[in-house]
Amino acid sequence: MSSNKIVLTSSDGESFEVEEVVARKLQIVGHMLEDDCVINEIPLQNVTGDILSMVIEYCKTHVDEEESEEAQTKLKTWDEEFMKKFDIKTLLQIILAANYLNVKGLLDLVSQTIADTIKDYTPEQIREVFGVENDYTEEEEAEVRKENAWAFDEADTPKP
Amino acid sequence: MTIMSDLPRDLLAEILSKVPLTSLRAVRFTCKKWNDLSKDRSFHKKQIIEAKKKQLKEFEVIMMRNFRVYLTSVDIHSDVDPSFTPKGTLISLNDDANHHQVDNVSKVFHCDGLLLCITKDLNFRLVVWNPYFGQIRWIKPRNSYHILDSYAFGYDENKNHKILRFKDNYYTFSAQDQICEFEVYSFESNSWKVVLDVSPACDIEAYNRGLSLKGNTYWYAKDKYDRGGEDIDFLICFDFTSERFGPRLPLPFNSSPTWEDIVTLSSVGEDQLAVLFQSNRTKWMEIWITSKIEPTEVSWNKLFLAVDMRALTRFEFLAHAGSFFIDQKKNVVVVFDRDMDAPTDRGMAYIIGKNGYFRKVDLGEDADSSCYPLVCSYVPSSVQIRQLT
Repeated sequence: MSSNKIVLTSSDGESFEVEEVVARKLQIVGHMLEDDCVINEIPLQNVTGDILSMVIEYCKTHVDEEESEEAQTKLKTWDEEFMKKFDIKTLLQIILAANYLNVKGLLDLVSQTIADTIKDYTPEQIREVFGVENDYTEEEEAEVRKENAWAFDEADTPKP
Repeated sequence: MTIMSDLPRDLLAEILSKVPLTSLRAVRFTCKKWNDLSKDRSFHKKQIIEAKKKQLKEFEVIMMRNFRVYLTSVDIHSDVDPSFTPKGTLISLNDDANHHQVDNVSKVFHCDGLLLCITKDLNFRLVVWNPYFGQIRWIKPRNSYHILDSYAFGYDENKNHKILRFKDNYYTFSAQDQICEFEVYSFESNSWKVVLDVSPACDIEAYNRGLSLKGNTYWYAKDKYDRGGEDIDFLICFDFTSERFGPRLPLPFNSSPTWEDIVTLSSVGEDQLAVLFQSNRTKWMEIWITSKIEPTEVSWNKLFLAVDMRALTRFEFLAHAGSFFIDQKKNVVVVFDRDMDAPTDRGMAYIIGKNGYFRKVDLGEDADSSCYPLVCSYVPSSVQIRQLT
């Protein structure tokens, strides 16, 4: 493995020096490196320093993904703990960053985390938490109810 | 501040496709954009990929108890007590906007991600439902129905779904009750038609559940004319494309079962059939899995499990209960029946594996003694239900 250092700079001018193997976990960086091997400073315009630092933390931990079950379990526990640190707003920023920087593992992890929070909410709560507006008219709402007449709902906690 | 509405559509799809099945209704109720997205074909495909990934980690089956239908998560570890956790209950929204548990389902059949539920009421007896997309279709019966009706659910080569309903009580005591009727409902034409000359020259007992696989339904059947001594038994398939029964397909057991023995069917994944045989006399139980199964051809290559049940349960599973599923990863079979030691009717799951592995999980009281717990494997799929236009 190469121990080259690469400097990643965020939109608000914060710089992070990371090893090349870590930087390559950001596929956007990987592609740039393939195009021209001598780059060692990369500006990343669509991500702020606080979010970029979290992405880097994820990439450092996942830098060598071992196949063994033990290593996988350890990573999974780390992922869970890592996700617990963030509120929804931060998670949404991370997912945008993961998408822009093209970090597939992080994208999956964050989208699953957000999907899991939806699990406990009623539609009203979802709208409140995610800042979504109810744009149904009464008739349209009745129609959606009709379309979804039958569904598996969480056992013993039927939601309205 | 970032809010959900700021996300591009593909990221929103990335998130919503991972929402568990039990929260999909809430997602569709949230706003128009989410509802529209949830109807997208490519979104459905994404959802099913995620669902199948999840199935690998967390095994889910469809369970019916006390006329209610549940999505149940199965946890079978060798070091922890096995458990069946209901993840979701089938809830219906009435016209008056109240929700209530659907508590009148008497039979459930699974075919490629769709469920056919037979309700106890005289009106609106059949419902086909895709739990992922929320679509349902009520099917009106052609005429009044009989308690001994058997059903099968499948599709033809054009993926047009069909339901077979039949009643064939050849061995009834009174001649006037002897009925032999077969009719097929087509989703495409939205109509029932009587199919003539299809009666297989064999006996499919009303309590023998058919098993749908790749669009066709298989039953355990016996020879109609031989009632003395050993029966001749086999599998038989109703081919939904030709709307005919296929030839007799051989069973893998060494001994030919007598009428007191039980044989029930299950599926493994999307294209394998499993058969459970238990001898009444010796309580010996065998479970086999097919290597190939088509309406006209079957081959068995795998004896999944052979157990002397005398040491474990001492009784024979009931032919009209005895539904089961196989967990290949854990190498066990789970058979649903009653708790034979309890003074009341209690559902019980029996988990049986190799080298004497045996566990029981109490499923709770059965409110109606005629309603046995039932389990069927469930494979999520993106199959759509053809709607009436």
